[in-house]
Formats: sequence, structure tokens, C-alpha cells
Amino acid sequence: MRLSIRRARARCVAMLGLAVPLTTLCAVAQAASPAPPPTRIVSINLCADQILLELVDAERIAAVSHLAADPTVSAVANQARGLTLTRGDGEDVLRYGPDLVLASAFTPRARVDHLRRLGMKVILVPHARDIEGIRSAIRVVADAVQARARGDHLIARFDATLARARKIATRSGRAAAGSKPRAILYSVNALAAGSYGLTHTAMTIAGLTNAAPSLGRGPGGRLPLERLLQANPDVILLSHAVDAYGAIAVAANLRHPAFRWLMRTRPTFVLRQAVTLCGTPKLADAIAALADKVARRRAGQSEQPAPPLQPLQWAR
Amino acid sequence: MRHHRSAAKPTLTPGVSRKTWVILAATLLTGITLSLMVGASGFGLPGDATARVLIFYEIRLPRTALAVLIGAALATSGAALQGYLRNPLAEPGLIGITGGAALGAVLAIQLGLASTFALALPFGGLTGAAVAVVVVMTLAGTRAGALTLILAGIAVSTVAAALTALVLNLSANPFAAVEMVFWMMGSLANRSTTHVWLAGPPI
Repeated sequence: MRLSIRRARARCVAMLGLAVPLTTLCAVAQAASPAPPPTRIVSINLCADQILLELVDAERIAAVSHLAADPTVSAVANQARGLTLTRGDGEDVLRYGPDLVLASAFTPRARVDHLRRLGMKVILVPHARDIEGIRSAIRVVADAVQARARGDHLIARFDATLARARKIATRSGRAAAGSKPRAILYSVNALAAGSYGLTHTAMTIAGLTNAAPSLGRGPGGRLPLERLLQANPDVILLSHAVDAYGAIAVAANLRHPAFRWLMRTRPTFVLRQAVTLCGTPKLADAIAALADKVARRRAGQSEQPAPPLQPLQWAR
Repeated sequence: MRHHRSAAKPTLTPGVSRKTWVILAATLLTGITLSLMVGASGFGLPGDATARVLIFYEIRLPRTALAVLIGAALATSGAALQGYLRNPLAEPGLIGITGGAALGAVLAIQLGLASTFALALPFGGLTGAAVAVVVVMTLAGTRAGALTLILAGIAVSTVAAALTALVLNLSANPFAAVEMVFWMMGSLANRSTTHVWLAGPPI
């Protein structure tokens, strides 16, 4: 009995003796050759898609979400053409055999856990609510796909375009008299952009004041047409082409003659929802374009007030 | 021979006293006034002159006119159906007509017909309602009693509601859920004088 214990102990010591050098060897080996960059990337979230398509060539992408090809919500719809589209459920993603899956905090937790249980590496891209959020989202994706250099370049270009937009806005603010024009972004279902979110940031950087937060909107951020008329904004912003959704009932506020009158008598610009729904590098280009248009309008503005209206006499 | 009291005082509708008429008329007038005076921007007409004109003539007036017209139409059709079916619960929704009209309108929008000419949407609704009537009559048969008609109507309205939900779900419209609520419940928000001219003549 004592002999077997001694032998067992000897065996343990021998194994331990071997174990330490072995693990050290393994660790060294892993550090020497890091995990290869993922070549079959599947993205099941629109915001992750848009950043991914700017950072990585199409050969490394196995599939993107079906929303990426929809130009009303995606700013990279052109680049997504020709790519496989997925709806993001477990079966579908498994089919592509990805070595990396990009999702977001808004992807249902059950789906993320399901994908992880199936053995896939899932990275959650944070949702960007402001400019710093966009930068951190780009960094997260760049780290995940191992395209750090390209990510840094993208952030640098993003910052440069934003700086240009700010310069245009400041210059026009100094040149034109009066305070910044008051703007309201009015959308389908009477939604007006509030004080959170990228739309507000975009408007502020482009040299406009968002007049909606001070108006006290109703539930869900809806602004009744009466209040919009009462507020009398200087600039109207739209988040899509006015007839983009056709004759659906919830777009009735955009077809209303009173709103059409507002659009005719005030400068109206489009700030596409495709660039403000998700925080992407394309937002900077959109802000710069908007700042440019606002500055031009302010420079060429004549101080003539709109003619007074008689009831039922305005052209429809 | 004794005269009944009702014979001495002829009324418009037997069974409804003059007092009820007065109360109802007063309620209607109060409702109209309130609807014209109160809106999303509060009591009265705030804002500058152009905003006031716009708010009153283009938002509150069409809304009030439509409410009165639609209320009258619903009441009349309800009363007519109740008389015909001899059932105090009857109304166009029960018979499947409103469900058919909603389905017709939603199809007109989703198939793109509503963008072709202005009256396409109301025509879609009226066609849907007409088809619903034909289906109900076919289901109930030529010598149907009131109960059979109501049962057929319930069947048609359930199927129409399900088909409306299906069409909206399959459409590319991101606002499908909100749109569905609109067609099921109705709304007078954002109505303009165009809608009054569209809805008035048929009513």
C-alpha cells in the first residue's frame, strides 16, 4: 500500500514536472502566432453592417443583414449589392459557417446566446448615440476583424470631415446676422427629432438649432401639426423624400396642405434617416453637406417676410 | 273615444321625446365648438396670424366636418341595419362591411393603386365594402334570417381583419403595425379639406 502511494506520488510529480514546461510552450506558441483574421464574417445588425463594409473587403464577408441593401435605412446600400443577405436567425447564420458574427446590444439576447451555444464567436457592437459613440463602435469592429490600421484611418477621416463642417457653420454664423436658424425635422407618423440621438447632434454641428425639444412633444415624440405651425420654424428638415412611403395613412401629416405650405415658404433640406439611424462614418459627410447648404442659404437670404395668407386661397 | 297623448302631439320619431332631441342637439353643438376651439396647441388659436388661419381652416375645420359627417353616416347605417335585421346589436362592423372596406383600402395602397389617381383609395374602400356585401349575401343564402346574416357577417369580418393584417405584414412598409392600428381604429389626425371633399359626396 505504501509503495503504491509513493509510486502514485512520483507519477504526479512527474506529470506536474512535464505540465509546466508544456503549458509554457503552448502559451509561447500562441503568442507567436495570433489567431488569423476572420475571413467568413457574418453581420446580423444594420449598424454593424455599415461599419463592416467600410473596413473590410467583400471577399471576407459571408453575409450581411437584409436591411443593409435597403437604401431608405442603409447608407451603404450600393456596397451591399451582390452580397448574401441574411435575416439573422440561428439556422441561417449556421449555414454560412462564420468564424465571426457581428451583432449589437439590440439583437435579442436569446438569439445571441443561441449563436454562442452553437459555437460561434459573437461580438456585440455598441450602439452609437453621439460622435464619441461612433468612434468607439468603429474601434470595436476594427478590433474584431483585425483591421486596426484601416479603422484608425476611417476615424481620422471622420474627424476631419466633422471639423470642416464645424468650420463652415462657425464662419456662416459670424457672417450672417441673427441667431442660428431654428429647425425641426418632421417625419412619418408625426415624429420630430428630439434632443437625444444623432439627428440632434447633426443639426447642431451643421449650424441649426433644434426647436423640437422646447415644444413639449406628445407620447412617442410625436409633434402634432398644429404645434409645428405654432412654432413657426425657420428651416424644415425631412428624413426622406416626401413621397418615399407612398400613400400610407401614417404619412398623412407630410401630405397635409399646411405642411406643404411650410415646405414651400421655408428652406427645406433632407437629412437622410439612412445616415442618422446608425452611427456610421457617412454621417460626417451628410453633416458637412447640410452645413454647406445652410451656410449658402443664410448668405443668400433676403429679409423679405412670407406674404400673409387668406383662408383657402393658397395654391395646393 | 279617447285620444292618446301621442296623437295630440305628433313627434318626428315616435318613442324619442323632445327633451332627448334637445339634449342631443346641445351635445352636438358643444362638441363642434370644442373641436373648433381646442386643439393640440391648446385652447384658442395661439401663434401669429398666418398660423391661426392655417390651424383653423386647414386642421380644425376639416376635422370637425369629418367627425360630424362620419358620425352621421355611422349612426344612419347602424339604424338602418338595426331596422332591417331587427336586432339592436347590428352595425356595419358586425356585418363585415367595414372589415371589407379596410381590406380594400389597404390593398389599394399596397398594390400601388393609391398613387395613380387621387380617388383610388376611396374607390378601393368602396369596392372592398361591395365585395364584402356580396360575400355575406352569398354565405347567408337567399332566404336567410337575421341571425344567419349576422353569423355570415362575423365570419367575413374576421377573415377581412386577418387578411388586412397579413397584407400589412408582408408589405415592405416599416410602419405596418401603426398602419394596421389606423385601419382598425380610425383616426381624424392630419385630415384636410381634401378629405372632406372626398368623403362628403358619398356620405
